Amino acid sequence: MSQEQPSSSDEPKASVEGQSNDQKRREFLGGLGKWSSASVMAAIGTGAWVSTSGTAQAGSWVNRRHGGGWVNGRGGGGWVNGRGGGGSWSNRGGGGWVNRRGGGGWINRR
Amino acid sequence: MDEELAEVEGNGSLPFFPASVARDQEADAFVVIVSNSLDFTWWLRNASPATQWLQVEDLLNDTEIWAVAARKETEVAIDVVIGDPALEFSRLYQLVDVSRIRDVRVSIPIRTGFLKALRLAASLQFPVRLLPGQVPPDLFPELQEALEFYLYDPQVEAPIEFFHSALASARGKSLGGLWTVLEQDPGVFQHFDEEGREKLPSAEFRGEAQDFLAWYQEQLTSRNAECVSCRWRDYCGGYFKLPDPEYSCQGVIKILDRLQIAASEMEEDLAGWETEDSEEKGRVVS
Repeated sequence: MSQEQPSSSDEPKASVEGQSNDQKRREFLGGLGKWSSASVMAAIGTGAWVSTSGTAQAGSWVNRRHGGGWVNGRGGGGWVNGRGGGGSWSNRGGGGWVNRRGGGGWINRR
Repeated sequence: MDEELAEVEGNGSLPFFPASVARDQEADAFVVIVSNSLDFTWWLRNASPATQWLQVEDLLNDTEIWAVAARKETEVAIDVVIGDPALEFSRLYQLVDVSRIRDVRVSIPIRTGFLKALRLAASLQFPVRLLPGQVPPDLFPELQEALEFYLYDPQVEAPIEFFHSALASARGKSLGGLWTVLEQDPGVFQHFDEEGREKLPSAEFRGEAQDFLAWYQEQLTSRNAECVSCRWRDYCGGYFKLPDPEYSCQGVIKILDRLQIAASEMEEDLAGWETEDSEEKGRVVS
């Protein structure tokens, strides 16, 4: 049985649902009265806080610029995290720090 | 070279220039480091859209300059780097008026008494960047207290780095690694001296800035540094091994592990709620 692939028109809907779920999760964690707002924002990975100058801010100072900012704004992983083929710095160079030595990397040799 | 990397290199990184050389720059985007009131005043009035922010160093004790900064001649953001947090923390109140018209971040070196500055900055709703360097062992109790404050205090609404990105990392969501979050990766944030020469984190390195971290991490691996088997190496990238590669990361790892525990606690909180939520939906459907 072939699985039906979602059409591209479904993607925005899925994205909105994802945001809505994150919003609910954020509200739940915040509503516990246990965690700080900042830590909830870090944990859920979305959302923004409003600076005292009234501008909405993404999680990181260097991401303040419109359109995404310096670190993670360059679409699909961003400037920093897009380097070297879609991973973080640790995955640069075809396998990264962890896995770049000797074909399998030291972590996989043990 | 892959296309994405070519794009990165084609666009360059974000340069940080001391004010003495910044006026001549034609970069599309840059940060200006100011450390005297004349330079600060000039850049407050003349910052172009290319000026991403002003990194203001050791000027908290100059009361007059903050009245100037509270006037809206430009909206350029400022990153206020505190020199001595134990002595200067009460000066942070001066930034309240400034922050009504421009974004303000407070960068705090981890030195004795830093927690006072952190608490006040957070209560004033400023985002904070802690500058850890190689944290002295006697400051870990204060750092631990700072972390508990970040995690649980209802006053904390704006991010406190590096806790913030480390917690996100522990939850599997990258906000950038430590070198990036602290704006110390020379491949992304290029720092220049008064003569316009690029400054790199290690004088031993002779290559291009964007290759520094890969080189540095190879050095750590070849030394068999404790990073080799550290569970935090992807996030940390050996940051705490500079300048002394023999520095023990024991205290730092405890802090990061505490963040991992907090991430797990959050996961448990969410799991309990999601189970209840799905049971509730099931009852409604039946």
